[in-house]
Amino acid sequence: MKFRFGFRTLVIMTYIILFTAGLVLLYQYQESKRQNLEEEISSLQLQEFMSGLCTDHPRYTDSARDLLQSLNEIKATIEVGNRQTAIYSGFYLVLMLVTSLTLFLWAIYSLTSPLSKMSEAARKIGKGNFDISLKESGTWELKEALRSFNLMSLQLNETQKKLLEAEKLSIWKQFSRMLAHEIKNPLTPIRLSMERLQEKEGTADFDRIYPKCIRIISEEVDNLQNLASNFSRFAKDEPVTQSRFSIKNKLEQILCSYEDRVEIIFEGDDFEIEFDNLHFYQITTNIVQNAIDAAGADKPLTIKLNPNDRSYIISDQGIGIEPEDLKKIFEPYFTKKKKGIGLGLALVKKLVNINNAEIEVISKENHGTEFIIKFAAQKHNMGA
Amino acid sequence: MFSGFLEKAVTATISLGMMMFSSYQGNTPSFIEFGSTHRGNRITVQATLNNAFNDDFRQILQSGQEICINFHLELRSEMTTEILDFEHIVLFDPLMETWTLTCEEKDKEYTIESWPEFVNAASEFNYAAEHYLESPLEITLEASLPVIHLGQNNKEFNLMIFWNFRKPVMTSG
Repeated sequence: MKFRFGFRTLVIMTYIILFTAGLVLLYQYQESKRQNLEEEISSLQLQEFMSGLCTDHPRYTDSARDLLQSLNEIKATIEVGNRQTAIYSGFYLVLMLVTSLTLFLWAIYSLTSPLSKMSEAARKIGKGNFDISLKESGTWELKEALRSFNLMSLQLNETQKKLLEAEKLSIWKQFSRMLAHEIKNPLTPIRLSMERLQEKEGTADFDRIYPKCIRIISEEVDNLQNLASNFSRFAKDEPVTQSRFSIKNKLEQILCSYEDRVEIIFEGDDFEIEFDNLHFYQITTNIVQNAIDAAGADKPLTIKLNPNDRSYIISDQGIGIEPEDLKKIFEPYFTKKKKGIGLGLALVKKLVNINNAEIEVISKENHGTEFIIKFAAQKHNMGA
Repeated sequence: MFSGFLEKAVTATISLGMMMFSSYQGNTPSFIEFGSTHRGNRITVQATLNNAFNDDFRQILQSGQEICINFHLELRSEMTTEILDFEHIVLFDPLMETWTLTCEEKDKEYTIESWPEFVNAASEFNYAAEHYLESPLEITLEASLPVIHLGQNNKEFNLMIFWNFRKPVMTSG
């Protein structure tokens, strides 16, 4: 675990310093008192006095010896007592220090551990994981805080679920509306053509209108088929097969079919990218088609290659996109076109992302729009 | 094993306590000049206790009580172990200020007048005797201090506190 000098370390260090200093001071005070007593006792000079006294009076020799022995014994008792005090005090003070430090660490840990857990849980919630419940332990204040945290997490979880359900419902509603509209559009001419054919059956006009009605039905069936394949492509998990190619050559190949419809100006130097060929085609054609739709065929498109930041920009001179719409253009089923299902740019975004690239849009109303696609840094081929 | 561990823990804690809180360091006894020979059946063991009787010890030895310094000798061969316990018995005459020292392992008694001489004599351990033990021989010598009773209350004191509860030990083998 990584060590960080935080509140806990500060409190523990302060405690150790203050507690040890207190114990040392207490001990030093007691030691100084003990030394005073020792000095007082050792200053007693009875020995010489008694020795001199007893040599002159032999009858008192035994009594003097007993007296001196008693005196020495008292001194020895005090000496041993002092040493005992010195040693046992140190021993008990260390035990006290270790015990209190252990208890203190335990208390600090019990206090700060739930806070660390809460902090970690808050980080997880921040990342979108609301399904978190912490064990309610510690003192009642901490239990209360943890309970509140769990309640908050639970409520956030429920709110998120409700939001997701609401969003899902809204998407389904929008999708159903749009799908109904898109299906209804080709169905109406099909129905009308069929009714006309029924109506004119057996009349002279039948042969005249027959090819036209059949063509309309066929076109609208094609439209329905396109609609179905667009949905299918968007929903499908696209496999990515990246290969290295020159971006300019590839763009020229893709856009040659557009040359008779619109003027395309190339700027900048060529560079190589690693990308899925098919995805690159889909991205480019989608953006270019949108640009033509927005600007019209009479205004040229510019494609600028930037080898330095490994990007290319497709710019049109169309009406631009309103700032409010700019936020939604990559959302599925968002479209402002009369004929469109809003899956094109959503698909572009998806394909760009799965190829580890980035897409950005800059648009100015009535001036035009720029789609910037930034590619990932090229992998170095070690074997090359 | 547990008592050995406990003893070590206690002595370590005492040393730590003394180091942290006290200026008094006590004695740190050890054996120096340890030597042993085993020739034929004759075994000799010599050792000197170092740093065992600093000045603070003097007051106790001068108490007039008989004080013993214990020596525990183990002679361990592959098959047999012989354990021998000896004492250096100290008695101080407060009136004459002389020390009487009996060294059991030498079976000798000394009367000494000065403290340094007494310390030298009490520190020396010399043992020589015949033992029927096969080689190789491992010889362990350990010294310790007894529990004594002092004062009018006959209070019990463990003199090992002067050695910080550390028994000096020396092994040859």
